[in-house]
Amino acid sequence: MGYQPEQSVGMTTEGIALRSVGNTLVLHKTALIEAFNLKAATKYQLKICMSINYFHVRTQYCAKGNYDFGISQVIKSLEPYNKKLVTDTWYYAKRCFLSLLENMLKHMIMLRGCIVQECIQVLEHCEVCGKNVPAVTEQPLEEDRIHTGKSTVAYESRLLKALIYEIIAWNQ
Amino acid sequence: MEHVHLAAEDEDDLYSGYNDYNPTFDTEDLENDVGFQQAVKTSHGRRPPMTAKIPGTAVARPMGTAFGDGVARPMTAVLAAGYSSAVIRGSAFDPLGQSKGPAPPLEAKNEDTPEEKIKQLEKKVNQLIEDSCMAHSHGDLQLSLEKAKEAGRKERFLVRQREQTASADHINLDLTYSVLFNLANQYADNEMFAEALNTYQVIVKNKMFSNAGRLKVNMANIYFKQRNFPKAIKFYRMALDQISNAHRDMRIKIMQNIGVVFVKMGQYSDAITSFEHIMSESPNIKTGFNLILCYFAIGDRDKMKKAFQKLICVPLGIDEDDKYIPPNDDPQTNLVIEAIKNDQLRQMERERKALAEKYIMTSAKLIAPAIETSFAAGFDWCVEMVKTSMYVELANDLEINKAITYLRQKDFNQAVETLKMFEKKDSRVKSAAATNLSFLYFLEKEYGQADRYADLAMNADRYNPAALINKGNSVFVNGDYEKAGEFYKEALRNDSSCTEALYNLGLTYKKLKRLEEALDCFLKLHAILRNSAQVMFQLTSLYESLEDPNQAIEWLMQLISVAPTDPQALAKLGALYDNEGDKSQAFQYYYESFRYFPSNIEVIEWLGAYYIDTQFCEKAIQYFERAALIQPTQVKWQLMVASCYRRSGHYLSSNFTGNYQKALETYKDIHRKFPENVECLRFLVRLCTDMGLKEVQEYATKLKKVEKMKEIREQIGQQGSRIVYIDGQHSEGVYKNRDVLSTSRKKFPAILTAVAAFFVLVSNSECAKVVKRPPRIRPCLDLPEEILEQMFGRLSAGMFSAFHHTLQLAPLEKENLTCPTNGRPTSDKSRLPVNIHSISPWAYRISYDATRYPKYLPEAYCLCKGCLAGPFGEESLQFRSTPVYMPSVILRRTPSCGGGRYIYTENYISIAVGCTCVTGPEKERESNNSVLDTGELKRGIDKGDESQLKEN
Repeated sequence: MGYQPEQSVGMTTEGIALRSVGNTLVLHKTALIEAFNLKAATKYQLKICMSINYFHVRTQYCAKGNYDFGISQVIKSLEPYNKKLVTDTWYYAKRCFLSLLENMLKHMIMLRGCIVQECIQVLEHCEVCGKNVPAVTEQPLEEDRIHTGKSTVAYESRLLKALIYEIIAWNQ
Repeated sequence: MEHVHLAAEDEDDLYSGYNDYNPTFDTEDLENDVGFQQAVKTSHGRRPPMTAKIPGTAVARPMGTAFGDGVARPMTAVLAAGYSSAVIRGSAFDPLGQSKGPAPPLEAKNEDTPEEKIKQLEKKVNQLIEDSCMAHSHGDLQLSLEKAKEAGRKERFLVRQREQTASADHINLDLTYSVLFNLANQYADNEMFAEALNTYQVIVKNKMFSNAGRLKVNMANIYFKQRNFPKAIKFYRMALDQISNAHRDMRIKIMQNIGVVFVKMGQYSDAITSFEHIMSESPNIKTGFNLILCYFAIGDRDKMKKAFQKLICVPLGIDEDDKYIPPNDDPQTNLVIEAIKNDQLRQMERERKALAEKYIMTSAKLIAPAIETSFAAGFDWCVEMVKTSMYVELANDLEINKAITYLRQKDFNQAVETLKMFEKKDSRVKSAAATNLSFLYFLEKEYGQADRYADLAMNADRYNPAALINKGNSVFVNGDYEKAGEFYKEALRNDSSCTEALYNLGLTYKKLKRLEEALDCFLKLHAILRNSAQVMFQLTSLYESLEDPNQAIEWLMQLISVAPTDPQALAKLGALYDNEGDKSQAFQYYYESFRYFPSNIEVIEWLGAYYIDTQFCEKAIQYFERAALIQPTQVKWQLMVASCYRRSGHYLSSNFTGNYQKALETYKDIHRKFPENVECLRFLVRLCTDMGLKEVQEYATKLKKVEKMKEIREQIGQQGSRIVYIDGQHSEGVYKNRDVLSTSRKKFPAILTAVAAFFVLVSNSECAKVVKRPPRIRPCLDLPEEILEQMFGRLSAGMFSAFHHTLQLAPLEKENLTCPTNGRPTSDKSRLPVNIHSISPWAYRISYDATRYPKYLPEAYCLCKGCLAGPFGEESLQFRSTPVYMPSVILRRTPSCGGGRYIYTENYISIAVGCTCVTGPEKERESNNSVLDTGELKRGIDKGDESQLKEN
């Protein structure tokens, strides 16, 4: 994994210190944080100013029972894929998914069926659009190189899709 | 920065900085440049930030005093604050914040605060839960339960801590939920159902947990495991009530479970309702299959058809195969496809597809015979259905299945016809069908046809290993092993995991006597098929041919550990041990073999022979009786039974008459069935003589007649054969001609060639020791001593000869001793042998009979009438000396002649071996105590027989 600047929530932007949503929240909130990171990253990609009021977002979605909706919204912020799906945004997107999967596994959240379907769709789109997008930035002095085909967003999104299928017991 | 640098303000030497050498440019001293070395090592490709200053010309110059924000400025300074020229430099344009220096180190965590402690504890609990799950996934259920329990303990401690620090409202509910849920799960997996149910109950009852309601599903699952079906259904329904419609997948899965429980309870209509609902809401393969099964169970034809149609319409939700075929133009896409063509998702998709195909095939096979009048029509309907669905490729497989069903019903013609239809289809199916056809013909031993279809299959698909094997097989049966080997090798080249080819190749090498190569093949095969009994069997037989019995036994042992109930293998192991001379091991394995397959004649024979060898004739009887049952036309077995009765009669005197009687009856029985059997007649004559029965005459006449007939026949057949067959050897010859074939019985696809055959040479020691009669030629000579000794030795089996031997060692000078009149000899007792020292003393004499073997026999005779039981050791007539007999066998010469030699028969006698003292004087008997005259057992010995035989 290459070095990625941590878009830690609450970082100083243009001299204004935003309040932190706090990384110490219980596990299910980490998913949200990842999602926010992602959203921020996508916005950054579009050269839109990063001054989102994270706090506002948090209060909006973090109420229990609604956060799956929040997460799906955030994931959808990858659209349009051809523009926003780049290595950096993918970095946040996959973290977001992994965190979500962990929560589902631990039965911390119960995702509604339609949300799961949406997630799968997002991953399918990523697979289609991400064939030529490297998943990690190649480090020039890295000794063992990964297979070029494997370090693509397409490959990793398939991996995530398989994980989701495993969790929802798709084959049983 | 240099531009704003004014010389006037500088009190320092203007040029001092230029002498200092910027280390960045010091290429000569790179090795000592820590920064550079670090950059190389860490492959950051850049110097650490410290050295990466903008390479100014005078960077290393000492800073001006007023540099910075002026804090260092002395209070008493004359200069006005903020007006130093240095200030301009200090607040210089610095957009990158480089002058700020590194960020202050993060504040160390204060570990002592209670909040921090609690957080640590939470972390630990989480870690324990994860450990527990990991242990579970590795299959270590015990450990995972331990971890789960420990997590539970820690969590309770945590809650107490929270309460103490009065932050009870911060209790981490999710953590509690995780701990309890994991614990319940681990209990359930360790089959501690009561504990698991309790724990689930705790979670479900707690209203604080959201979503806890669905854990009722888990409880229901436990009830299901306990086979408490009504309760399981109740809980599934409760769970269903608590799960909102938003979680449709979950609801569907629960309904599926309810359906399955109904099936288990045999309530098919309820199950059908459940399954039908699912199929209309969100169809899936499994439910579709279950639905078909339910309709099949209640026998509803139309519904079965409908359910099948539904099943094949279920969307699989997987990608098309062509997605994974590289388009060949774009290297990047090719690389991606290479990466994904066998990734996890692809494997899952394949699995799903295979599952779907399996369900469809199974249900088609199941319903085909039920939905139409005939199974063929049923299959046709299924094929039609499948052809219109997305599983087109299954249609051909179904057709082949139809053929196989024909085969199952032994309707070979139909099967062949069905398979022949494939001749026009595309090459892959054609090759498969032709392969099957070829094998069919091969099974029917129509090798010509088999060869033709093997060729066809090969032409249709040269890379079809099955076709190549079939071709090889048909060449093999024609005896062209070299060529067959070539075909097998080609099959192996096409598919290196083709075990059939490897196996057949091994067999071919075996046939070609290239044993080492064959061994190689089978060892390789063994590496692939670790537990194939067949391969081990081949290895055994190979090692046997290589004369390495130890290896053979080892492999056979392995084979038996895989197939412990294979009677052939057990018998084989017995035979191997027998060859090694380990009779008791051999017996053990033969006995095992007999237990699993009691009608193997070789095994029975061996066991019978073994018992006779070890002098347990009675036990041998049951085996020979069984053999007689299996082969009722073989007189041999029945003779054996009779012979066993006869023998056991002698050795166990308590059963004496009973068994003798039985022997007689058995012989009579045999005679009724095989009136021309000489041996039987001969024994009948002898038994009748021994028992003093009247039928003797009758049997003797018959015997003569039969013998005569035989003689005539033999004279016609082979003139002047002089060979004396001893019966046992003769029958052994017969076995050799019959070649005992031992085949492993398990099915091995595509292999029926070269059945391993080997001889089980059963040591056939027992048989009536009657010499056969070749044509009579005078004068009759006696048998050579060695042959007699051999015959006699086999009969007496050591016991009698030992006695004989002992007596020969004893001094014989005290012959013609008489009863001591002056009482028992008291002096030097120790030197006297026991026979003289006894109160019923006896002595030996040697009897001689030229027509008997052994010619010389020692016999005991009592010296006194009474016993030397008086107070001074004098003879007392209150007691009586009486001889002790031992049953024995001798060979007796008969007057008949065979091959110029006398014929000897076995003869059972009782020989006195000593005397003992019994109470009560003898009244009627006035004998001289000689054994030969005393009474009841006399007939065993002697002339009586002879004279009677002569009379005949």
